[in-house]
Amino acid sequence: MIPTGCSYHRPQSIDQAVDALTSGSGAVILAGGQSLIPLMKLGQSRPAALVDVAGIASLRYLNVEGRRIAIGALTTARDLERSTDLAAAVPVFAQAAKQIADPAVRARGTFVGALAFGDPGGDWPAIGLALEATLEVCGPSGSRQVQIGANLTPWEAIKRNEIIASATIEVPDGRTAAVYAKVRHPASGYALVGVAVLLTLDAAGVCTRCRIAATGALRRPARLPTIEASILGSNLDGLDLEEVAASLRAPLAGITGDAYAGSAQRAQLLRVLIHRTLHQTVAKLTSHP
Amino acid sequence: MTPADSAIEVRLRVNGLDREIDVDPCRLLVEVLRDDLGLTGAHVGCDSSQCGACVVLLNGLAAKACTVLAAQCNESEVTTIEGLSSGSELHRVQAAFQEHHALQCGFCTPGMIMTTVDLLTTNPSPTEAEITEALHGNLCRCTGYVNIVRAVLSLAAHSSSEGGEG
Repeated sequence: MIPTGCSYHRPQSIDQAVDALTSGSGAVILAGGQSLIPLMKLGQSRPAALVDVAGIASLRYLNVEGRRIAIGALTTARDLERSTDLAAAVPVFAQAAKQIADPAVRARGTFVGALAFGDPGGDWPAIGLALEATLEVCGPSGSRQVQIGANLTPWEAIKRNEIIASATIEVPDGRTAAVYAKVRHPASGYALVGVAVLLTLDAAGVCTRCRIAATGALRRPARLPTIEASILGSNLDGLDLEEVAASLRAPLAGITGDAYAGSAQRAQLLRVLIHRTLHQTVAKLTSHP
Repeated sequence: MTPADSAIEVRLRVNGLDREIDVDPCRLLVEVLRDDLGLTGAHVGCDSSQCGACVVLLNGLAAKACTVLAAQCNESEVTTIEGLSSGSELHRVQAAFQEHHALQCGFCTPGMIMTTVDLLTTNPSPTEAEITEALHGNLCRCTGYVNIVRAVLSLAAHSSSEGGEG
């Protein structure tokens, strides 16, 4: 049951959606609703108006062109999990999708919505960060591109009257692989801790790109630049990955704790998952050079 | 429930019947199915998209009806447990659950069955691991899942089991 009332809009175009967001205060976008509706039940979100974008057919697409992936705002986790084109081009999407909630939730919840919402225990934000997604943001004065970087989170960069129309990901050339792993909350399915890793190696085995993003353990999903820096430029053959993961000590103050898992437990899980994902990513690169 | 001033019109097809209803935008699909349309097969267990007792097919895909607004179902097709059987003849998934004693109290069963229908539509020959994965958003507090998995496995196209083709 949702305790409060609200008005409801069904725009048929992005312009109409932006109009609806602009015309009244407290209007929010409703896509899959798998994050928003639970929050409305808890009274943690009380929108004055819902702008249901499901009728905007132009937002429902998944384009895979080589290593460039474009994901429309209405594309669900189920779509990403089951696309054979996507699985061939960037397998981490299907690998991560299978770890999200459960099949019925995945049939509704969207990739772009998860990035827009940025739940502290959400899975897709870690993928968006590690793969450096670029968001196409539409507002009253047209559209602009917002890249998710180490310090730029979309939930801070997007205005109330803007809508994210798509996310684009370009996987770097060369020997690149990515892996996502999590320890899930047994009931809700959210990540107690989740880690996404993307590595690129040159011909000599030296790491030329390293992206490590964490979710569940921080106030907001974010990259871990210190760990990234300790890997970048190294030859992975000679690197003790367990030692790299164990070096996560300094920012412990930033690790969250709650009734499900305290901050010390989350910090340890984070180390374990960093080690595991790095190991799996290196294994992929070694088996498919 | 009397629709509020903000009520909106929703047209949907439920179990093969066209329906036009006025609903408050914040009402959940499961509430409208149960309270307005009298279809009480979809159950409200946790009301937090964890237990899966409310699962229905929304345009053919299993969805948790406690986490979908009725308003979102405009121009959609909804199938509930009531829409599966034809007359007194059980749907083959229902028959398999009966055959394999895949329920005890039965509260979770409608959701289990609707999720299974979606699974078998996209994957007619699921393995035991795929069945477990497909059903992990459906909680059962009685059976320990063993007979549920057995029932679904009996329906897999490669299965040689005699049960389930009711």
